[in-house]
Amino acid sequence: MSSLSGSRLMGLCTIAVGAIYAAGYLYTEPSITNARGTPPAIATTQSPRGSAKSKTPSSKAGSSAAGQKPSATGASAHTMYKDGVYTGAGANPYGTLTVAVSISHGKILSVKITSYNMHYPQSIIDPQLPQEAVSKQTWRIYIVSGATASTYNFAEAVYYALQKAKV
Amino acid sequence: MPSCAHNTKRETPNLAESFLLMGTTVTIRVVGDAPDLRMQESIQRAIGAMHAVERACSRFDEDSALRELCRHPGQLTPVPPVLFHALRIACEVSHLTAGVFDPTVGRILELQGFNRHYLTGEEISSGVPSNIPTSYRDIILVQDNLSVRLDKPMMLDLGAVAKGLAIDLAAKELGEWDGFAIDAGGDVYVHGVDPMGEVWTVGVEDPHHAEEPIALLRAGDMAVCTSGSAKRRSPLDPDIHHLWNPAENRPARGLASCTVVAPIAVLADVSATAAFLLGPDRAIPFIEDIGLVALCVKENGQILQTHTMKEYLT
Repeated sequence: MSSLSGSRLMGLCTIAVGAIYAAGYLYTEPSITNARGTPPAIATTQSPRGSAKSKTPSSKAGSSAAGQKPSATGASAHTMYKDGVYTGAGANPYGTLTVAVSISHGKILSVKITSYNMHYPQSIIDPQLPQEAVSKQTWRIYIVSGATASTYNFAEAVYYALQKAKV
Repeated sequence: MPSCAHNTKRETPNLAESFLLMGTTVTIRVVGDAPDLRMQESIQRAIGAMHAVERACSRFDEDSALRELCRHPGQLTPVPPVLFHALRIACEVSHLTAGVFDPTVGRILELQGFNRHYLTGEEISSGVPSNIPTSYRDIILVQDNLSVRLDKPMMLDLGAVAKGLAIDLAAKELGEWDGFAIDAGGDVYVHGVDPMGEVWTVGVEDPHHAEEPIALLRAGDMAVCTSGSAKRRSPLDPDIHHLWNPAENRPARGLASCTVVAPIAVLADVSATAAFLLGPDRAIPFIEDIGLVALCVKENGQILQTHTMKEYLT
């Protein structure tokens, strides 16, 4: 049976999920262009729960000048990208894969794996492909829990997609 | 892994899509009688929720709320709810483990070479001094206005909490389906039925032989999260993995992996990491004390498990 500390931890976790979900998701945006002289504030836009759950910040103007200028805080001048969807492919002796990188407001919004045709020898097989690995079992296994999978295989494909997206 | 629809005769319609997210591969499969488009939209919403967590809690993204907070040591800084709650959970687990788990290890991980953004390849350098010892006790949480003060310069790492939270929020977005499974690089949450109409079977990877699961778990709604040393190695030293024990200032030793079953993913995720760090002697007592279910594999292959594990094994 769960101890007091276990109940407390369970409670904190349950409250966390409920509170974050209820609040909608807060997005931190790169600092605003007029932040000069003021402490860099966390600018947020909120996607209220219940309305259309668009995950892009609501302001359309943000996609032009404001969103694309590097932070005025001097924190960085990191790479900015053109909005759009860009594809990239990667290959190694075991096969090929492709990704589609979506850029919104000059930043990477999502990276979708659009094809994956890698056939590794059993010794280095990625646990992401469990059906083949355990086909002899009674039940079909759709999912396997294991140590965090690496994204190393995808680096090349993402690189080529981002090259296309560079301003 | 690839995006594909499985619509064979025996299976309920289902659809899986995969993404790169939070430094790993995320696959979401939904099961239900609906057009592909609706499934895709639903998966997209779930992925959006996960991205929101990543944007707030990543130490690799200098625009994240976490990085913003770390730029202002000594100042009370308002943070988004997701970052506040992630820190609160992390600090609670630090307290329970007497600091063996500690979210202030970000700078140490950075210096060990865990310092590249998984998408852009850009190297991060927080510039945080590494000669000032930090601990979770230096994190002050003010509940009333969701503010945080870091009492020393530090780089936070919420890897063990944020992914679990992201899974739980994604699960909230998928509640309409007969079944779904979220796999965030080996941390999973399943709900309802699988494409065969049965409760999901979740394999537990054998850390020494990845091709064959070491156990199969069956239950209705559950999170199954695994912490292991096998896949994340320092580019500077292959003997160093990403699970750092700050109490002893070295990577954790003794266990190859620790898998925890819990009703919610954030609890399973953070508990699996904490148990892994505690090592072979203390992992199982810790998990039993907090009322969860675990299976750990020692570096020598020996399996340790809570007495409750057998209720889940098939």
